[in-house]
Amino acid sequence: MDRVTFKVNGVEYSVGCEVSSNVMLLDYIRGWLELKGTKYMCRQAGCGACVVSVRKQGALPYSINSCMTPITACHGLDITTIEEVGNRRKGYHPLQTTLAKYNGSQCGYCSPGWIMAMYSLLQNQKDMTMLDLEQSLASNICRCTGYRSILDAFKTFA
Amino acid sequence: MKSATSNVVHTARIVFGALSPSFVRATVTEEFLIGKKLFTNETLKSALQKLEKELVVVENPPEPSVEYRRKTALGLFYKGLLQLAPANVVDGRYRSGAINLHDSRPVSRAVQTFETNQTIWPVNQPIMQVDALLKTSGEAFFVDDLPKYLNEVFCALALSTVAVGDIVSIDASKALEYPGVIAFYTAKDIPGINSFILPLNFVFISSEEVFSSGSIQYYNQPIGVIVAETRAIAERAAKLVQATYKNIKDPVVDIKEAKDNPERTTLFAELNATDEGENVEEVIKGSNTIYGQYHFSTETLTTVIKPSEHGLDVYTSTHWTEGIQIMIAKALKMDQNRIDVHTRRVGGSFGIKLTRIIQGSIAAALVVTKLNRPCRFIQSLTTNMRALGKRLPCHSEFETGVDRSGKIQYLTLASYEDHGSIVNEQFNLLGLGVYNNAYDKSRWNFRTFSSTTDTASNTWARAPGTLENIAMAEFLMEQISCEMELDPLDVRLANLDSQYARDLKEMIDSIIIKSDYKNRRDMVTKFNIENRWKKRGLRFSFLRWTPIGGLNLYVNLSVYRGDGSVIITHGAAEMGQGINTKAVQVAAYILNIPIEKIKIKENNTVIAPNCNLSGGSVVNQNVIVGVRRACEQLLVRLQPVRDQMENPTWEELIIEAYNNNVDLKTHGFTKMTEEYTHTAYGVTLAEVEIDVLTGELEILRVDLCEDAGLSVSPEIDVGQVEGAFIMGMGYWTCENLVYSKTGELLTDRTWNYNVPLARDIPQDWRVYFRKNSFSEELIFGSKCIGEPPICMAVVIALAIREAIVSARLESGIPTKQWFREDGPYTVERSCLLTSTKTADFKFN
Repeated sequence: MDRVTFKVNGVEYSVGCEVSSNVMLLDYIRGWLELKGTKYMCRQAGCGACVVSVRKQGALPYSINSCMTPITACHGLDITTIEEVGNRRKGYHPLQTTLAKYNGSQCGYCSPGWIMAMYSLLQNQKDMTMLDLEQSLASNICRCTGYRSILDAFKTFA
Repeated sequence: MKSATSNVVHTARIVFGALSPSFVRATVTEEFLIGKKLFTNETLKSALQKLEKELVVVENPPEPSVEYRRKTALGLFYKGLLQLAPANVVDGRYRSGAINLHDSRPVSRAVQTFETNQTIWPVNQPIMQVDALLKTSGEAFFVDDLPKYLNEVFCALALSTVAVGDIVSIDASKALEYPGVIAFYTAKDIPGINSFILPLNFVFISSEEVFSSGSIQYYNQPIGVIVAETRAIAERAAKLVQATYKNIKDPVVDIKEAKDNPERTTLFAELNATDEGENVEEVIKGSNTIYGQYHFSTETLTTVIKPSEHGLDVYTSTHWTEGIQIMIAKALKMDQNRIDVHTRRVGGSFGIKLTRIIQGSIAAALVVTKLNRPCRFIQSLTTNMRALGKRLPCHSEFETGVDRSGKIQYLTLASYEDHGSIVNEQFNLLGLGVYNNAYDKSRWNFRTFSSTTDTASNTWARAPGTLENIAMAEFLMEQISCEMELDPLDVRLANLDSQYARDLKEMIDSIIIKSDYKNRRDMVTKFNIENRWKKRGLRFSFLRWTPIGGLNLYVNLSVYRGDGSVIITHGAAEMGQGINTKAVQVAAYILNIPIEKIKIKENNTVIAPNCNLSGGSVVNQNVIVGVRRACEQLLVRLQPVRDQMENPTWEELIIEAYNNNVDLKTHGFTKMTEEYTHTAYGVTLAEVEIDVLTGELEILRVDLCEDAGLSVSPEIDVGQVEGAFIMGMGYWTCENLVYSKTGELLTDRTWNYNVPLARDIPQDWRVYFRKNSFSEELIFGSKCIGEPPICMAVVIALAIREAIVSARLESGIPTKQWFREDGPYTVERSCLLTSTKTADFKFN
């Protein structure tokens, strides 16, 4: 294997010796692909602003912190970022319109991370109760809203 | 543990984590238990003694203390046995010990209650933020989303490794040898003034160095900036910069050590009593200390600067573009008109991006002028936390004489604000208007002092100067009620200032009914009698808030003749508080056009020069007034044209006005001297439960009534209330800054500085806006909203105190005995404060 290959939003990419081993998936998404929708804060998998959805072949999607996943560890992954979930061109995803409608976004910086965490969760788990859902949302920090509006928005998907 | 039906232990495994690297298995206790009848008080007592003896717990700051981890290890052992024990063995009062508090948490529920007057929509209409979809889709622009520039460089601050001393020399050679490092700059490289702030208005009185010019005043003070080809290289290399120091001294990091030192403490203001009562039943003395809070904006301090034709194009996430422009100009000896500062939006600030961000922006601007290359300076979370100031710690001391009802007869109260390394931003001033909260101050002698400690210069943090004063007043009421054995609600009512009483009583009565207070008061008392290992508390906090000051803002409104669409720039920064949405609602109402027709553009120093900082909650009111003036000016200009037409559409009117040479760009200006005087009120009731064995906390229910006036945008203001309250809840419960003896901040990341998460909020949360409230017509009846609600979060600490007092009573400490607690009521502190004796761990 001379190249690490993966897909981002359906497009195949590969990296090799041109990237350093400390280039994280986050850096690749934002810096190489110029997809700036994915945000970041702590760079230590604590805040959830950088969450993206990944899927291994034949498996269900799940969330990862792109800030602590080296790009060279992404071989075979099918990665989905906030840009693919919904946008003004192809229309917004119900998660995006619902979070907006419930005012679950204030400064907006953490919002893509929340959407991606829920986006993965909804595909990963079926028939979630509101309690399951709330218990699954411990990986994202929001300093603005006090969380109530975010929980109310997302509980409509239970 | 395995046991037969006889409950005799066959084998046992007892495992602990987080005590010390060397201790995992409690083998002595395991061996002891084999062959014993497990669920007897006798076995338990002996096992706890064995366990206590064999536990190896070592200090590992900033992890909780040895004492707490030892206590909790024993508590968890007991809790585990209570969970294993047959129900008939465990006495009813002890059963609550078996419950894991957080596991018992149900789905959270919440209600928000407000009225909306459809006749004035879109003002007062509950709508989502105008750019909400851009934010939830990641399309909203933040500074670091600027595309990569060819040749751009990155920065990281090099920080001092002593708290107090003088720099002898700085050696950056190792850093400069690191591949990818381009340059290192220090104070000597700054051609102009080495300061990121000056006395630019009444709030500021000092200058503060960008890089230390020799004297070090706190641990991790910036001493220079490393420039590199990538962010990662810059951050790594910054740690390779080595400085040597002389005259190193031990730092003073606690306000309690600084307050009595005349070199560190000066009187800021003294406000004397005008009356004194004669019915002194009891004299009560007390003191309180509260500490810092990191802002934790999710976007860290970020600046991108590129060379421009005239000088610099600065993109930064500040809420004071003028401050950035002036201070870069002074530091780099450039004319202000060569520096254009742009802010589209701010990814959360809570105060840290007001003045502290100027420091990094100057560093980036220096780099750009030195290298003539674009610079992207994204400060790391750990640098932000270590190198920058936070909420001001505050110490207060009082003596009061009260009558039988707890009414104050005389009071002397002194407060000491900890400004960190330098007294600059004068938050004592902001406290002067609210130090008595809602209580009668005629008998209060109040003195407020400015103190310094050897910590980073403390700064704006949501409700600076006011939060601590309001908290002190609420603690005062609690202590009086505690020592006089009176109901804390009655004591508050007895001391209420008559000028606020009517408004507040209306809100208190409303909360008492809506929360079913009287019934729940009895239930909490009953719960505490019936349960040994879970305790509850139910407490009120009051709020009276009067804003001071106004802001210079330049509001511009342009209408396009092609389709009548409108753009506005308002000179203030959108940082999540929804100011753009409110501006659109006001403009749409006055112009009588759909909100979709109006867009708010970025704030920059070209279109909005000399604008004051978007600080304090008053920025909302200023923008409303400025937009109103610009819109009304436009309507005046349009009127003659309109009079010539018959019911024109907006689009027809605009094109006709254009054809008649009407100036379709208008301006609104608001002044610093213009104050929109009003008083905002609040009442909150909170019920909490703590686990006595671990100190864990659940907030069972909060009823919060906020006087938002006539809210221009109720959904957005609800968000302000909820967000502020949770930030305050974090301050009082889980956000604990730990410093080493050398003055180094040890809690510098998400792993050890704990902010509230989604399942920490009240299980049942009801927010009500006061009915029929109105400030004044000019500001559409609105009131300040961004800061006041955080001041009510002290209610969580007060409710936790009741739970702790109930647990202490079980340990023989009378409820009348006030205990003093400094800093947040963390799980550690709550657990230790219960003063629980291991001897009380029993089955029956």
